[in-house]
Amino acid sequence: MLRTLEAERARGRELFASAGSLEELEAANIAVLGRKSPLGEVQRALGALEEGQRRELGRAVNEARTELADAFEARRDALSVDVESALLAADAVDMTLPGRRRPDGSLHPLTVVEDEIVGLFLRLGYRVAEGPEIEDDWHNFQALNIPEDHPARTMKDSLYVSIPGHPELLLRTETSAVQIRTMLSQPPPVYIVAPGRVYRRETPDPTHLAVFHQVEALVVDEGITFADLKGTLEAMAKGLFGEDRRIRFTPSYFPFVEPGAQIGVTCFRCGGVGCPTCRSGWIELLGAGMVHPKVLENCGYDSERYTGFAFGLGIERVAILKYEIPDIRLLIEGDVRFLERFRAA
Amino acid sequence: MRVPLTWLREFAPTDLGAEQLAEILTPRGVLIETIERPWEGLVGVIVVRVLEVRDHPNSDKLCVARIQHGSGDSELVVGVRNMGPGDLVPWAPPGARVPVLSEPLATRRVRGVDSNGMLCSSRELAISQDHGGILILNGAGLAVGDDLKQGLGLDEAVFDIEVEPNRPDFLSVYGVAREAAAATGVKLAPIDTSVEEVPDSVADAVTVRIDDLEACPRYVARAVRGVTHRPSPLGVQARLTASGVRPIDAVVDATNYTMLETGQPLHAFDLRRLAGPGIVVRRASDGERLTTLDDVERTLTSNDLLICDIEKPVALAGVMGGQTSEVSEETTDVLLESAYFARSGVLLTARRLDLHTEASHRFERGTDPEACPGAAARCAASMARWAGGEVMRGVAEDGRAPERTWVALRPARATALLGYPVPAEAAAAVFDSLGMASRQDGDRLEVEIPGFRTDIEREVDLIEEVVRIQGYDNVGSTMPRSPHPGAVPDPYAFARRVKGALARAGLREIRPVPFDAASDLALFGDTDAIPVTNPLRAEEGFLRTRLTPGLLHAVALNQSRGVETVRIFEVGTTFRLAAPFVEIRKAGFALCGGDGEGWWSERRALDVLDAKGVVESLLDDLGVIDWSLGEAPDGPFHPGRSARIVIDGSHAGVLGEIHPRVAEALDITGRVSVGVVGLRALQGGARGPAASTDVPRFPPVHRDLAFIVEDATPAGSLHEALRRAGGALLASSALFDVYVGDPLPSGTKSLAFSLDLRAPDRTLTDEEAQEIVDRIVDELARHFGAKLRAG
Repeated sequence: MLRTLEAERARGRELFASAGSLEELEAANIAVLGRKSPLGEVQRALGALEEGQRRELGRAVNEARTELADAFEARRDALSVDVESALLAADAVDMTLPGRRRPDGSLHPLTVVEDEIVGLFLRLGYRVAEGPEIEDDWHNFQALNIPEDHPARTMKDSLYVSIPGHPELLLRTETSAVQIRTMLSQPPPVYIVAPGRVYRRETPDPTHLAVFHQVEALVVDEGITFADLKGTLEAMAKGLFGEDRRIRFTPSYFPFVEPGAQIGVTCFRCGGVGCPTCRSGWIELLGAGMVHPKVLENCGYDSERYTGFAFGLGIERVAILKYEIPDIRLLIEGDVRFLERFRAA
Repeated sequence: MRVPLTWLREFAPTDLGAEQLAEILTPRGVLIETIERPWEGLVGVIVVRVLEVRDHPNSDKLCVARIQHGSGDSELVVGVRNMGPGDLVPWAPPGARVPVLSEPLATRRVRGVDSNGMLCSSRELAISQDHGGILILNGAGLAVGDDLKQGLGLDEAVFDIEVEPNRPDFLSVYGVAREAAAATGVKLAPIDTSVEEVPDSVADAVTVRIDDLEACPRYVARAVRGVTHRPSPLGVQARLTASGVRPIDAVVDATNYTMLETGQPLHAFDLRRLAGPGIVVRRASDGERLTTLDDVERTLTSNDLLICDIEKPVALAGVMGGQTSEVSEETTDVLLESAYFARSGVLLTARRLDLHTEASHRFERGTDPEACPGAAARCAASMARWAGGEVMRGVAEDGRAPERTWVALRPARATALLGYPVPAEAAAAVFDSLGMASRQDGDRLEVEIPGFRTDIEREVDLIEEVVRIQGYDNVGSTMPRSPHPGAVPDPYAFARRVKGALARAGLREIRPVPFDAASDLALFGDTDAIPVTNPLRAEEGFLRTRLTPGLLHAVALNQSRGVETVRIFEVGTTFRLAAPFVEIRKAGFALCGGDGEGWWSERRALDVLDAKGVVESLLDDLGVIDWSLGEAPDGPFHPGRSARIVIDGSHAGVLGEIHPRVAEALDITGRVSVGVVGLRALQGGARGPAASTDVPRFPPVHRDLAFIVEDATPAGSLHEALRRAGGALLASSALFDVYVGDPLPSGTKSLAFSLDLRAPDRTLTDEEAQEIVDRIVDELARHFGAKLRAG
């Protein structure tokens, strides 16, 4: 019987090892460890033996059983892993297929840029102000120190609207009219930014639109200086275009400021040394200046006590520079292939 | 304004080159846009003498010229023969360059004759527009072999300056020279106004009377007798051409040259054609007529100012001369006008007549009333020198220059505004450099404003001069401190939120121009659009009343470029007449094309229910709870695929597919759906984020129910009834399938709902669930004849 036992251990190990599937292994299990297996028969025969022999042989049977059961489990675990691997292999996908996406939306670059500019000034404690796009002559011109007989003011440059009984109405040419509306509605101090659409009577070309957008900023307070304007514009240029941006003030004329300046920033491409884009190293970005005392007086402010600065920045201008947009008219066309370059925010 | 540098250096004798000078002037507000060199392309042209002109052997028109050029003779073929033996002419030998040709000259055979280079006309040399023949150089002080460019002083650089309306003094060479002298520290040379006169006094021969001293404070006249019609010297012509003014003849050139130099517009009358002779400056009477130099008869108003002789109007003051008194080839005696007109009058006349001239451009910005006599003398002297003739003694005049004003500058105020210290002495030095006298008076600096600085009216204008001349680089850099945190008004913030919601719904934002054509208005039959009075294009004749046309045009544009699927939105302003007008903000979107999901799904055309999905996303995103769809709206919509959007019981917008006929007319292929909703209504309906509620802990009992109903039964109504019948324990329900076809009877459809039944405090038993289901089935059977579908 000991010999049978030895033979069974060898056979069982062999059978388990050679089982190629869980089914074969189960069959082998019955054949090796089942009640009707030779091992089972040996076990049943134990009862007929005398105690000494039985105990000895019983231990040998148990050892064999334990060993074979371990072998069975080891093989079963191994086979299970194989099965799972096969299942997963069958479940593979072509990872080079495009992912399933929902259609993307996006904000227009003008919105993105406006957000950036407005956000910058919100953090500096400015309030957003808005005004109507149809303005009257007084707010759009006269209050801004542009009287009727000013050479800068001709029918040619402005778009008028035909509203019976209201010949004074036109499409605002600058967001500066919002300065006036704000100052008339509140006492100083004033810290505002006014984003909005403005209109000129021009034929659009690759660098000009007749209808475009500005962000106007106005600060009126006690003790505001030209240096405050410069510092604020430097902060804006760095915020919009990067820390290494420098700005330059060139004297310029706008009727509603004095002194007035044209502001250039160092070129984005060449950093200010001069390249085909900028030629001089500088890109003219916006007009600015100290609020003309006449404008303050027109709004009932004490121009001796209060001073201020204002500037107007073209949003399209910033967008075409920032995103290197080759033709400004792309901004108004609505071609989705252009819009796809921009992301939702 | 174009300023030739040799001219500028006559008054500001700086040694600096053009580029260096520009770098100094631009930061001072003399905005030099470009530096041009009109004769850069003129190389190697020399002065030669014509020896012989003979017929070309093989051509009737051409001739052959033999010339002497200092180092021998040459022959060449010429197309004109206005030159004769002995004449000095410009010759471009082989290898030379002329401005009008891109290639250098060469030797070539012209009809069998060797031709060496070319003889040049004035136009070919860019001296004038004259192309009538070869330029004859006799009497120009040139000798055979001279380099023409050197000899005529054509080695010239020209500043093209952008002149802003407040600095009309920069509309003259002398004005720019004044600034250049101040900037470089050279001494500004005065304009030579000396003039040789004959004893006869012009004041005895001509009368001048101003009837309206407000519109014309000063009128100075000079007379030049015995002029002849001839071209002005070549150097003068070249300067005029370089300045962008066309040379005409010596008389006219003298007036233009003096205007460019001094900024004072001058007008030349034919003295013999002036009745009197006398000048009267008066306002026109309403309806009075005058034919101006450009051959147009102008009808005038009492706001226009006229220059008249003692019988009739002869010029529109400050704008343009009249035809009857114009100088011509026959003119021998000239009356020169050098006047000062009030800005406003000239501007309004020029604007009303849309008649803009070099003179009106200067007068409407402001000329120097003190400059009139000097400019008249300068012009008369030049005219007599260039056109022959003699200058009569003195002037005939009326009126005078206004007294100079004094404006006070407080150095303390300048310091406060500029943010850096401005001592009185430093300010005084600035004004001195600009030719403005000043004197200290206590804590003020009183500054005398000369006639050429029309822009300086008050203290702040002086402060600007200080910082402009000291340099904007002197200004420091500080940041003001706002006393309050930043803030955004609700409508602005809400519009931005709506944009975000629509972008999240998979749409791309567009920003079209807010104009409509009449045909756009016709889409909806809008009659309260606001017309644009002076549009540049007919398509922009009105301010838009709605967002829809712009969205549809964008769809059409994309389709025309082969882009099929378009999902776009706009949040923007619309306009309507409303005593006087209203501006209304709306959000709108358009969908067109395939749903474009990709390889995993069937392609399907986007339709109105996709648009409805966008509306649902938007309203969900904004927290709008109380909304519904109402009846089909008016307008260009598909009657069976459109609805009004109702928020809080009020009309808030529209949703629908565009009528196929309308889409076709707009060049749109396939279904196109739009949704538009007013922002005010949206904002009113937005409840904001719902308060957080506890999440249910007990699992729901799930049931799927399919009902067979008649085709016409609206799914929404059935669903509504199902919800009501389900009661409080119906936690959620969703329509998950709509089916039509076999084995259903025709005229019916199946609507399948998935239900979750749940009590907040326990797990429902099957019996409880069945009770609810039974109630739903009974209710739907009773109201809709709905049959529960097996399975």
